[in-house]
Order: sequence, then structure tokens, then C-alpha cells
Amino acid sequence: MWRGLREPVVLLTAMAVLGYGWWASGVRPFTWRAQIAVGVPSLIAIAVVVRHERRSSRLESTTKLLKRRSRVAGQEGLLGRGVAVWVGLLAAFTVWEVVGLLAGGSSRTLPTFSDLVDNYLLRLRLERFVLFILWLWLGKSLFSLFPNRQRRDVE
Amino acid sequence: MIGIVGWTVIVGAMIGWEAKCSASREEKPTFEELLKSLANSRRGRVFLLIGWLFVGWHFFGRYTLPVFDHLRGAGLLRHAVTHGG
Repeated sequence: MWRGLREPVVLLTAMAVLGYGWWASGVRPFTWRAQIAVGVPSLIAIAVVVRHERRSSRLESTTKLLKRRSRVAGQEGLLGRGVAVWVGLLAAFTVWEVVGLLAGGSSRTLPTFSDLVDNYLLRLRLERFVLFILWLWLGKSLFSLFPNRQRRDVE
Repeated sequence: MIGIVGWTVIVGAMIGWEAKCSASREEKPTFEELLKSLANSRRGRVFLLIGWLFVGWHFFGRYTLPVFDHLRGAGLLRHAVTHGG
């Protein structure tokens, strides 16, 4: 992980991201600046995904059959491997969130997940900074899960 | 209090299940594998992107329309409501 930071471009990018994260964690939510702080990475992510989809649709015409086969095989395997537990846990998460919302939101007895994050994890700037960087990192990690991207990483 | 207990149980169960899936050699998908299988289809990728955007806007931007914030901040919205424009 740290080996990549020796590259000047990677190091500069990491510093820029950290700097951006620090600035973004200092702006107040519900303001123009907050929209920009979240909007810039959002637009970059949308552009990256759209570009990926265009490329993959071009690739799809040549590797359509292979791709479909691997996709079907992956899904079949996964269905047999206890996805139901994850679905159940995510459903429980959603139901509890809805219960919190029905209780009026910001309730002390039935807080939503967002209330808890707001009250305990987004109070200090440092906490907001860490969570903002985590959000950016999550976006990068999700993109690395995309199929063609995985293939390129292996190559 | 009951709400916090509920969240602790749900999040604890997720962490526990993830740990079990990672540790076991059986065919149980980790959360990452679940997301990977979602990313296999275009619909799944769009879903992941929307989910990620939602988390960001929800926690950091609050997806409020900027114009309303601006008006509210300047007290213009209240003025507009009270005086009919």
C-alpha cells in the first residue's frame, strides 16, 4: 500500500485528496460550499463510471459470450453461498432505519443510523475529515470491483 | 435506548457474519464478494454508484437545494412566506 506513495504523482494525488478532504470537512452542511465539496467527487465518479460503461459496452461486443457465462456462473455460485443472511441483515438495517424515521427522526429512544453518525461521528472536524476520506476511499474501492477494471488490474 | 441496542445488534451481527465468512473456507460470501457480484451487471454498478452518492450527499451535503439554503440563510424565505413573495 505504502510502496505506491513513493511515486511523485501518487504522492501528490494523495496530498491533494487529503487537502481537499480537510477543506471539505470544514464546511458546514446545508451550504453552497458543502454542495461543492460533495459535488466535485460525485461528478468525477459519475464521469469515471460513464467512461467505464462506454468502454465496457465496446468490449462487450467482442467478449459478450464469455462475460455472460462468467456472470451466470458467479451468480449461481453466490446464490448457493448464503446470500440470504446478508439480505436478512440488510433488511433488518432498513427496517430499523424506517422505524427510526417513523418515530419522527432525531428521536432519543429510536434514533436513525444517520442520527447516531451525526451525534457521535460527525461532531469534530477531525471525525468529519476521517469519514470524508473514508467515503472517497469507498468510492475508489467500489470502482475497483467493476469487472473490466479487475481484469486490467490483474494484467 | 432501545434504538441504540437495536443498532448495536444489527451492526454487531453484520460484523460477526463478515468475520465468519472471511474466516471460513465454506462458500459464504463476504460483503465485498456480495458487492463484486452486484458490480457484474450494469444495473448493479448503477445501484452501487447511486448508493455511494447517497451516502456522501446524505452525510456531508444533506442534498438540500442550495437556493433554499441561501434564501433561508438570508431570512428571505421566511420573508417570502410571510409576505406572499
